[in-house]
Amino acid sequence: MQQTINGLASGSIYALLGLGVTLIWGVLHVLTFTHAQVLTWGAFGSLIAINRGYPVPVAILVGMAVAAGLSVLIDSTVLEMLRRRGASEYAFVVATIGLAFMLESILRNRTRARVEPYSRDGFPRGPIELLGQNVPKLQLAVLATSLIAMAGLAIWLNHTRAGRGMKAVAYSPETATLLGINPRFIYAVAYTVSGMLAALAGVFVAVSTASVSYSSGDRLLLTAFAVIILGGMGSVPGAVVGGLILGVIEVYATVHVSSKFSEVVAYLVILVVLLVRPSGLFGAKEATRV
Amino acid sequence: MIARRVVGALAALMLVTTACGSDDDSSSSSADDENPAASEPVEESAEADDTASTADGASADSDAEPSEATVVRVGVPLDLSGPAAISNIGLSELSAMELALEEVTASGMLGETTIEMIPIDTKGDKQEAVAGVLKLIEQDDVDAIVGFTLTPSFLAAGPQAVEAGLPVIAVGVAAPGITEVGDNVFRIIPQVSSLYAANDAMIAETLGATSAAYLYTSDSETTVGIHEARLAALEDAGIETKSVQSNTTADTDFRAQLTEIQNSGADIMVISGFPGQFAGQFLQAEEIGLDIPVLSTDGSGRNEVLDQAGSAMQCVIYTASWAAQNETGRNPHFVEAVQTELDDEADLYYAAGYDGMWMFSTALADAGSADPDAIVEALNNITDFEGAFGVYEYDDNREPDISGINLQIQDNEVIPWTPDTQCER
Amino acid sequence: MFEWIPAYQRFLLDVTLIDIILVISLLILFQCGLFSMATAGFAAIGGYTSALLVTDADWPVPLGILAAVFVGATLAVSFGLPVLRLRGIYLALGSLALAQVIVIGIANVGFTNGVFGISGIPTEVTTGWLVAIVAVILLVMELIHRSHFGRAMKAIRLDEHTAAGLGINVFAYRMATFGIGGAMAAMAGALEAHRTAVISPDQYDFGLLVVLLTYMFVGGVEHWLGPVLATIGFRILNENLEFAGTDWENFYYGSILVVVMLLAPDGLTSRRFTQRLARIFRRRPDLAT
Repeated sequence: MQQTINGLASGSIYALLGLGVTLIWGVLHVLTFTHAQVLTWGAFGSLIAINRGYPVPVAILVGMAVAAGLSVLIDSTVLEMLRRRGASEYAFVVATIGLAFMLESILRNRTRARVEPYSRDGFPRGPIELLGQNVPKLQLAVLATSLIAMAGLAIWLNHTRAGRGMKAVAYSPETATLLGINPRFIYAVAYTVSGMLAALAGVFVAVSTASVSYSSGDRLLLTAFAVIILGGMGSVPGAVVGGLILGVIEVYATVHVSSKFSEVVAYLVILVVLLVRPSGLFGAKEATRV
Repeated sequence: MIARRVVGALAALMLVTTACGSDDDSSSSSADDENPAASEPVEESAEADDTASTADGASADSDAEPSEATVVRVGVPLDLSGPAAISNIGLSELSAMELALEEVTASGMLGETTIEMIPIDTKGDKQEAVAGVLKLIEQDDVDAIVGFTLTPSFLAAGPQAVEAGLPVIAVGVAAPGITEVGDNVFRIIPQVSSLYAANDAMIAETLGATSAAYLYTSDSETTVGIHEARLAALEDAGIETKSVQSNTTADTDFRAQLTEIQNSGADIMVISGFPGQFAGQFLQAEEIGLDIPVLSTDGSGRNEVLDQAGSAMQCVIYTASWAAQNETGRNPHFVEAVQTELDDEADLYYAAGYDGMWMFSTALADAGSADPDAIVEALNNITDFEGAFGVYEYDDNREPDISGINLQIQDNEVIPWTPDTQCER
Repeated sequence: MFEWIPAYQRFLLDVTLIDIILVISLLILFQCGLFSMATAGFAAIGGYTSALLVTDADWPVPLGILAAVFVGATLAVSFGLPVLRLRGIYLALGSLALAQVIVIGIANVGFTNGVFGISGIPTEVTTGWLVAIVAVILLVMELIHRSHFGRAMKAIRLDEHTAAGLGINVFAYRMATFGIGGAMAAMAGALEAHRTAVISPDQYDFGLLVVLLTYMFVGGVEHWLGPVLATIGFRILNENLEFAGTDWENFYYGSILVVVMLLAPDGLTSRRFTQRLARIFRRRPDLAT
């Protein structure tokens, strides 16, 4: 029971990241290797706000703004230039890998590679009695906040003009333009939302370790990729379900096999899904085959 | 994979005290240590290879004439640039060696002979280390080598020095197997795995423990070596193993492992990890209500760790190879000298560099010449050397017999721990 | 044959030659339109295969290296069979996951000595061997470049549907190339193990891939000469500029990759880029008139 909650809590962080990656893949067909850095920059944004004495909700919003701003900046500069010249898929991958290295290097130098303390004041602390189990309040808060954010995203995608516009652009940028939707605006919206979700995940990671460093998000990049492969690339419900499933599988691997084995679970998930069902749980078939 | 690269940096950087020397994942270098516990064939080959070549090479190379006003050239390969976390270590080692050399020169113990240090930057990279040491041997024609920050750099480049027959004092490296590279290799920082193994059983007994659970960092040779040695030592002492859990240097969520440890019902938890992750580990343990006594790893008492973890680390016990609290040997003078001369707080790496140069100078004075064989013999025969690590000498395997000091965290302060120490949680 | 070179310079020359083999292993895939991120994983497989066979089973070094090549090729083919049928991005992701599984696996099983790695590996690989191996590889690359095989690869890279329409068996070409690439990366890993005497899992990290990508794209993907010159050039720069290993090293490599992708995704020596440069220079006189 406690272990399932552990799995769902870490899984909800994976889902937040996976959602950001899958949104961008769905809309732009770009796999962003910068996503872990966006998370870390967002966490540092909130850290600065906390250290300046702002209340926690404001600090989280600051972190989201930093991450969203960074994401949009990346998109409107480097990625926009690549789009204009009709660059091929690998060029986006290589360019975002390069950007990720630059972003990490900047943070690493700014912090002298130190691990910065991240104050937990104002965040939920201590355990709460639930179904006869002591469950950390923080974990419940992470789980609840993530689920609310995901539900909000789903409603927004299906019931607002911008959300529906995003779906239209994902389907075909040309058709969307004919419908009077500006794809560049939609791209910016997608990057904003994806950055905000990443920052939320970053804050959760920082709080649960009471620290943040330039490398806080590193392990999560490939985990996010595993989430979207499992859920189906471009699928929003797939990212949520995939993230939660992956979190639970990792914990069960620790319990029933060994914690060493849980290290490779995410990578094995990528390989197994590619071999067995490349479209993932919710993915569209046509996108997967040549 | 980005993770792996980073990991190390994180690990290395934090790992103040522990064997940072031997931690390296951060830089792109690669590591390779001899396995401490399990005996794998690797060791033999390394030894056979290197010792053979040493024996022949050594006598041939003798350009130092004894008893004249000679200049003895000492090659100092250290990681002076590279990731900040590592280069800070290398720079500390270098400045402490310079400090020691000043003291040696001022003492007049070398008579007419003077020592010239030739530092070379190995950049935290295995290949740079090999190239740098080859350069010291061939172009700078050094008489001895005192240096090395990271274990992988040493394991790659050390054999080159051994082959050239030069005496080698490894300064920063803390992994097992260092001195097995050759009969002319000595070290300063004791191999940390045996250090913990020697103290853990006594601590566990004092705590009245009959069973233990382990959490260790599985992707660094430093922590794996420490963990394996501790587990073996505690099992030898009759402490039952209830659960063994691992994490990687990039992990931020340890709850699944900690929950397993709690469910195992062990009396104590033994953590072999890096300072950058202690806060997360201890806070998450506190949250899930895991409150058994903890034996941790050196570095647990670093200021930033205590800042991050707050009261979650109350009563944690760990062993350090060097600590400012140690009052033996030359340590009190050393702590003060670092404060006044280098305007910094003493730490393990200053201590290692300082003792490295004093150790070489003492051997040089005893030998009366820079002849490699004479220096090696003098190092083997040194007794009761007084250094920053206390009073010690080399055993038959050229390992320093440094016993370490046990420490405990109480009310966010680090104090020496003895079996009589009481702690209120 | 090369003993007259001082050991220090000879060592640098040797590791540069090994890097060249790694870059070529990446390049040959790319020339067939394959973007694989598993190079480090295959190098690890090669290094460990040979190191273990030579130290544990007392195989002679050349046989150990041959075994590494065989294992690398086998692994590449068995991984490529299912994955090469998918869209390119799946190969990128899958190969990245494969490399991770390989490296973490090596770090966590007993017979590889885990994170401690292997030391005391016999170092019989000489500069002579390396020069000969690299010469043969480059000669073959040049022959491929001029042959039907090379033109087919280029056609596949530029437009696989057209290539298929021309009767080129795209899948077969890709499988063959993927196998060759895996074999070459494994060979480079084995040669490196027998040159530096120590290997451990953490040396096969993401940073290695980024460095190789930089060499390849700066050199250009159309002909082997560009990446080879870029590898040598970067090594010389590394030895003389002080940024190697520093905190900013990743920043430099990252920014070089971004700039190259923006200016010339096929590399700085690509025809597309040189023609663009030529156009720019040609336009100037036009403006003057």
